[in-house]
Formats: sequence, structure tokens, C-alpha cells
Amino acid sequence: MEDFRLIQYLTTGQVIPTESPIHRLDPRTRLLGFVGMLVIFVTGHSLPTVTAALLVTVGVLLLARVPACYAVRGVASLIPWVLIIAVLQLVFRIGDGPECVEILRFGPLRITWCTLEFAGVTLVRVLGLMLLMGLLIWTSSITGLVHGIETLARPLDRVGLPAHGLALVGAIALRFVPTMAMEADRLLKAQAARGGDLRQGKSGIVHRIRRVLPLLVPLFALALRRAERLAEAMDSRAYAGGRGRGQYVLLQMKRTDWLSLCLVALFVVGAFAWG
Amino acid sequence: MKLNTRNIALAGVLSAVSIILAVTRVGYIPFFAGISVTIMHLPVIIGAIVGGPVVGTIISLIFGVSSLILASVSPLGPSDVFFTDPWVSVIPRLFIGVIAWAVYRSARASGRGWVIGLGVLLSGLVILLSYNLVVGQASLGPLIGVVVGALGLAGVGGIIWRAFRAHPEELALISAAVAATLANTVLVLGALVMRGYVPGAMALAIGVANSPLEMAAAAIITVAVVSAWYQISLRPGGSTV
Repeated sequence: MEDFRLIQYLTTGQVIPTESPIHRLDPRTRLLGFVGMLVIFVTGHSLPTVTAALLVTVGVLLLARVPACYAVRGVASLIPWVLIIAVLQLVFRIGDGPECVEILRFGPLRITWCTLEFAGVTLVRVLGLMLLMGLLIWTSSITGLVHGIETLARPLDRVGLPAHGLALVGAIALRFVPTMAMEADRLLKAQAARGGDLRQGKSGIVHRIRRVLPLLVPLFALALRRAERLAEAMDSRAYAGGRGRGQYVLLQMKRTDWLSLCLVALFVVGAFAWG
Repeated sequence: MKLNTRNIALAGVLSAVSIILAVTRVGYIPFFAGISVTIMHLPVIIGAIVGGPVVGTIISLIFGVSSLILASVSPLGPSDVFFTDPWVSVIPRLFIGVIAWAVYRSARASGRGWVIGLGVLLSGLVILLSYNLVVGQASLGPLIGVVVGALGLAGVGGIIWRAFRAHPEELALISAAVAATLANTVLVLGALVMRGYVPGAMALAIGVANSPLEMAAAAIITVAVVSAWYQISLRPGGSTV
């Protein structure tokens, strides 16, 4: 909260426009590929599967020509913590079972192949998920993603789920993030101008909580008021979401998209077959 | 399930506030030793109270996904390691909206919302504890901790009820905030234990250290925000200040 410029925090995770083959894919392909790899990382519990998924992610990152410093920066800051957590998992014997083959025994400490694999899977999974998420964020614009989600979710409308409503909620949320950040900036400055600088004061947790109130109550009130006005504006223009509406930008799947989707599908099936 | 425009706008703007609270770290009130009292689930609670369970669930979905993205792309601490897993960051959060709305409605109807809140706590802790026992790390310590915690909460609930007996609206808001915050803590810690990231005893310790202040902060802020909002909207033309 330095210097009242909250909006500077919103610059992390921007698109890196390198015009690679991955960037040129349809956003739906990237989304579905992301979901496929996510499923493998989240449900995979054997070390070879998760490591293969990690290698694939790194390969796609290289294809996307993402500068190494971006990819490494986030991961590097967390490596010490991940290692500590892996050690804790070994010590607390998480993932152990009676059938596991013991490697080391030292007093109460017991390391088996199972616990070692579990700790390794956790390590690889965290790295993989971070790189995968970075891959999606660095190659896709947010509007492209929302567009892709809306197009993908359109068939759900016939089943009765309010897919357009949900996509619109996402779009509104993203559109209002800079607005609300500026409102929060303005509130901090206004409170400070009245002598209530929210960055200083007594420490002690109760005081810190109380200091946050003069920012939060007006911020929520402003947010709620904006929501009401937005709803009125939408209603007065008879905007009822996207049902039956055409789109200005049409997404088209090309041959590279279908090829990539087939590759991802093969990989997911293979990963599940392996275990 | 239809979403009218008011609910869409409400969910969208409150999700934006939730994202802001996470990104600018205003939502993290530092406590000690790296643990913080977090208030980023407050838009979920307020959205559920003002807009209903669907709005609350949508906001909690966006809240969960944004915490997932932030943990992966700009991690800031050890807890961000775990939040890269959607089982920990997204799935547990989906229930907060419904719980907040349900407790608020039943508390307004009957004035006994804190009983429900307590029920949520107890069920969550029972689930946690039984999982721990089943997996084979049974010990007396966590059991005593659970019982003491439940009794403490019952006592605090009783004090709050006596103090706010004459103000059913505030009581309903406090109950909803407390129940939803507790559900957030219990469900996220439970997911951490079930995924094997954190041993059960440590999760219990974190929960016990963090929860009371988080519930208090959530209750204070929720009551302040919702009562200010309802007073403002009752007077057409905005407040006179």
C-alpha cells in the first residue's frame, strides 16, 4: 500500500506477446488444453505421470517463447518453501502405508518409497501447476479467455445452466477490477487527507482490523451502488445476457487447433492409463 | 436457475472487490509469524446476504479461481504453495456462499443462527478428526483440542446471543459471517489435510490460532457494511452526509 498507488499491483500476470504458435491458437484450444493438463496434475499420484506432464508443460512454454526469467521468477521464490514442505511430509510420514518398502529408519523417522514418491509428486505438482497457470496467463489475453469460455459454455444454455450469465459476471468482474482499485486509492487518499492515514497507527491485531474498516465499508458501499446502477443501465437497454445474440468477434478453430487438441487428449488418456 | 441482471451486476462487482483485496494485499491483515487474518471471503458473505446463494456461489468461484491464479503467477509466501491446487483453493470455497445465506435466513427467521453456525463448526471438525483417526494418526491431543474448541465457541456464541438478543438483524449478520468464515477455515484446512500437504495436528493448530480473530473481523466488517448499505438504499437519493 505504498504511495497510494494500488493499481500498480495489477500489472503482474500480463500477456507476453511473442506471437508464437501457441499464441496463435484459438483461446478455446488453450483453455481445453489447460483443463486437460490441470486434470493430470491434480489427479496424478504417480511420479512418472506427473513428471511427464511437467516436461510437456515446459516444452509448451519453450514453444510459446516465454522468456525464461518470467517462468523462473515465480517458481524460484517458492522453491525453498516447497522443499521445506517436502521435508515436513517425509517427517510426518504422509502417504505411508503398511506395504511400503522402507529405505531409512532413524528412531521415530521412517522414510519409505511411498512417502518419498508422495513428497516428490507434491513437489512436481506444485511446479507444474505454477508453470501451467503462467503458460495460460502469459499467452492469452483476458478478453480472449472470457470469449473462449462464453463460446465453450454456449451449449450449456440449452441444458438450463446460465452460461451467458456466468461469462458476463466474469467479464464484469475483470472490467471493474481497475475501477475498484482506483476507488480504493481514492478512499485511502481521502481518509489520509482527513487525518486518518490507514498505513500508520498502533500495531496489534485489533487496531489493524479497526484501521481497515474506514476503507472497507465505503469500498463495499461504492461497489454495491455501482452494481445497482449497472443493473439499471443493463435493464434500461434491455440487455438480457447473451442468449440469442450474435458475436462481433467470431472464434474459428483451425487445423492446428484440432491437432493440438488431439495431442492433449491422447496425452490425458495415456496419463490415466498409466496411473 | 435464472440469473437476473441485478444478480449478474452484483456478482460481477463484488468479485472485482474480492480480486482487489487479494491482489493489493489489503485483504491480508498480518497477525504474526507469517499467518494473516484474511478478509477476502467477505465479498462472498456480503454477496450471499444481499443477493442470495447463487450470487454468493458465483463470487466464491471467482474468488477461488483468482486465488489459484495469484498463487501460481505471483506467489508471496509459503501458503501459496498449497493454493496452486484447485482442490484447496477453489472447491472448498464454493460452499461459503450457500452457508452464509442459509445461516442468515434461518437466523432472521428464528433468531438462533448461532446454533447453526456451531453446527457447521462441529460437523467440520468431526469430519477432520474422523479422517485423521481413520488414516491412522489418532492421538488424544487433537481430540481434546476439538472438544475445547467446541466448548469455547459455544460459550462465545452464548455471550453474543445475550448481547444482541434485542437486535435480530445484527445477530443474523454476525451468525452468517461467523459460520461462513468458520466454514472457509475448516474446509480449506480439511482440504489441505486430505491432500496430504499438512499434517492434521498442524492444521488444527493453524485453525485454532487464526479462526477466532478471523471470525471476529468478518463479523465486525459484515455488520458495518450491510447495515450501512441498507440504510443508504432505504433513503432514495443516497445518504445525507
